Amino acid sequence: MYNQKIMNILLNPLNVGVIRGASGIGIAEDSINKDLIKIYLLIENDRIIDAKFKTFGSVASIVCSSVACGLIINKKIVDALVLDTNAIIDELEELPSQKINSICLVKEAIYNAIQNYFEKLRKIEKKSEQEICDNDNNFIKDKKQANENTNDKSVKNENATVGNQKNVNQNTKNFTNDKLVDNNQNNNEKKEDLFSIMNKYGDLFKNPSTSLSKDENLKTNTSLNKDENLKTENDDPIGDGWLK
Amino acid sequence: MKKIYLDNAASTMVNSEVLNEMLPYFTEKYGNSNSLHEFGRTANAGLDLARERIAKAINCQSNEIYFTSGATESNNWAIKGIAESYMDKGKHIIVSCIEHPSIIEPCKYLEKHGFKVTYLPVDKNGIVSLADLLHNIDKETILVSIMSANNEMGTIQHLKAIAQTTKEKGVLFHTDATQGIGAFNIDVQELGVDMLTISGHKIGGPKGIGALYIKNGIGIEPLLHGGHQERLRRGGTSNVPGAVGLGKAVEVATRDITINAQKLKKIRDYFIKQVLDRIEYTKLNGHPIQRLANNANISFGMIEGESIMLMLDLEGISVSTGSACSLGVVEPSNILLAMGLSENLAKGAVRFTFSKNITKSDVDYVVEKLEAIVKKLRSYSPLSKSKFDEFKNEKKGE
Repeated sequence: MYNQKIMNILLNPLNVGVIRGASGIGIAEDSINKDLIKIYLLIENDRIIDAKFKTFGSVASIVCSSVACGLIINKKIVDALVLDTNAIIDELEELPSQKINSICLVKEAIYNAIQNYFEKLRKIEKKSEQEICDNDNNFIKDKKQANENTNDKSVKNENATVGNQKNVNQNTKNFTNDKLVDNNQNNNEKKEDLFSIMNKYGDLFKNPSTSLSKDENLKTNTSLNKDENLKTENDDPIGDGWLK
Repeated sequence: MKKIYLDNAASTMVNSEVLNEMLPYFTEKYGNSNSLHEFGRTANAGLDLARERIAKAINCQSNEIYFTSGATESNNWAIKGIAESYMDKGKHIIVSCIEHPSIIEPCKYLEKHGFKVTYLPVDKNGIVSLADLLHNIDKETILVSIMSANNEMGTIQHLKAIAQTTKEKGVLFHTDATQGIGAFNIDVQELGVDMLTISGHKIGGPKGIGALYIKNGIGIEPLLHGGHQERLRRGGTSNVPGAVGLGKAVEVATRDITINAQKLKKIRDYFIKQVLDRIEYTKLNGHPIQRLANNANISFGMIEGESIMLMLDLEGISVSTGSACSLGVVEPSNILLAMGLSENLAKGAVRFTFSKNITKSDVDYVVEKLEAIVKKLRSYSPLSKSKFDEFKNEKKGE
C-alpha cells in the first residue's frame, strides 16, 4: 500500500516537534477520519524560517506533514499558501488514492497557521490604534513615565535584534507592558507588506476593520475556537513530559 | 529477520494434515463430483467424507451441510435466502451491530427492498443483551443473526441463551461461527441454532471454501441458481479439494480444541499483561474473560493503529488494525465505536491474534518492539494526555 520512501519517512520524519513561541499555529481536523494535524510556523518578515508538525492520524498524514513542512521552510508566505498537492506527491513518488485527503488536511493546517499569524498581527494593529489615542490623552500626565519607558525601549530593541525570536510577540509585550507606540515605525512598514499580501489573497483573509463581529459569530465552530485552545496548550508544551 | 505472524484471525497457515488430505484431489481424483464415471464418483466420495466430518464436529446430519465459497457467501445466503422464503410471514430481521460486513451489507440491501432490520447494540464488552433481543422480537420477525465470536475484539456471545429465546419466539436463528469453530465446542443440537456459518481459512484450512449448516426442514431460496449441486440449493461445480480440506480442518480443529485453547490462552494472557504493564495509556478492548483464546485487541492512546501496524511490519511482525476486511478504510472501526470507545481510542486499536506456533520468546520480542514503536509514534502526536482522562475514569469504574 505504501512505498519504501513513505516508510523511510515514517521511520525518520523530518520537522516533527513543536516550536515554542511560534508565529502562527494551525490545526486541521478531519471530521470523518478524525486525523489531526497541527502545524507550527516561525515567520520572519514574510518568510517562513521554520515549520514543525505534530500529527495524530494515518501514516499518510504523518508523512505528508513532514514533507509539506520541508517544502515550505525558507519559502515566502504566499508560496506556502499556494503549496501544490502534486509537489507533495512528487516528493513521496506515489500516494494511495484514498489517502489524498491527508494532503488537503496538511494544506488546511498550514493555511490555518498563516491565518493565525495574521490574526496576531491584526490584534497588534488594533491595540496600537487604541493606545495611540490613550497616549494622546494621557500624554501630558504620563510624560515622566514615558521618559522612563524610552530607556526600557532601547534595551528591548537590542534584545529584539540579538534574540530575534519574533517581532510580533515582543511587540505585544511592548504595547501591553510599556504602552509605547512610536518605536514601531519600522515594524509598521513590514506589516504593510504583509497586509498587502492579505489584500492580494483578500478572499482568504477577512478584512481586519470589518470582520470583528463575524469572528465573534464564528467562534463556536471555526478555527478561532481551536486557536484559543492552542494557546493554552502552547503554554504547557504538548507531548513532552508524559512519556516518562 | 525474525518473522512473527500475529494475524491469525485474518487467515491461517494451512495445516499439514489438511494439505496432505487435499493434494490427491488436485492430481489424481480431479473429476467433477457430479459426473457418473469413476473419476466423478471418487471426487463425490471425497465430498461426502468432508460433509460427514463437519457434521460429526458440530453434531448434525451430513445432509444439513452445504458447501459454499466461504463465510461471505454463507452469510449472504443465510440472510437473503431466509428473507426471500419467509417474507410472507414477516419482513423483520434482527442482527447485532457488531456483525461482519457480510451480514450487515445484505441487511442494508434488504432494507432497500422493504425489509425492516434492527441492529442490536452491545455493551462496553461487546455482548448483546438478551433483554434487548427479547424486546425487539415481534410478530413480523423472521430471522435473528448474531455472530458466535467477534472477529475484531474476540468477545464470545451467549449463544445458547439467544438460541433458546428465538426458539421460544418461533424465530429462526443464524450464527456466524467463522471465528467460533475450533475456538470452543459448537454442538448445534445442544445450542439449538438453525443455521451456522463455517469458513475454511480461519481454522487451518484452504481459502475459498466455507459451509452453511441449515437445519433440515428450513426452506431457503438458493443464492446461486444454475446447477444440481448441493441438493439443488447451491449451483456451481463443487470445489472438491477445498471441501476435503475444510472437512479435515474442522475435524483437526475440533479434535485439538482443548490443547490449543489452553496454550493460546496462556500466550494471550502473558502478552496482554506485558503490554498493559509496560506501555502507558493502553486499553484491552472486548470482554476480559469471555473472549477468544487467541485474540488480544489493544488500543494505544494518542496514536493511530495503522502506523503501529506498518512499523511492526518493518520489524517482521504482522498484526492488524481492526479487521483485514476493512484495510484501506480509514475510518475508525464501527465495532469498537459501537462498544462505546472514543474515536481516538478506536483509531489506536491493534489486533493481535496468536497461533499455537508462537512462543514466549516471540511474545517478548513483540512487546519489546511494540514499546519502542509506541514511544516513537507518540512523540509525533499532538494529542496530550489530558484528553485521555477516560482511562482513569474507566479504571475507576472497574
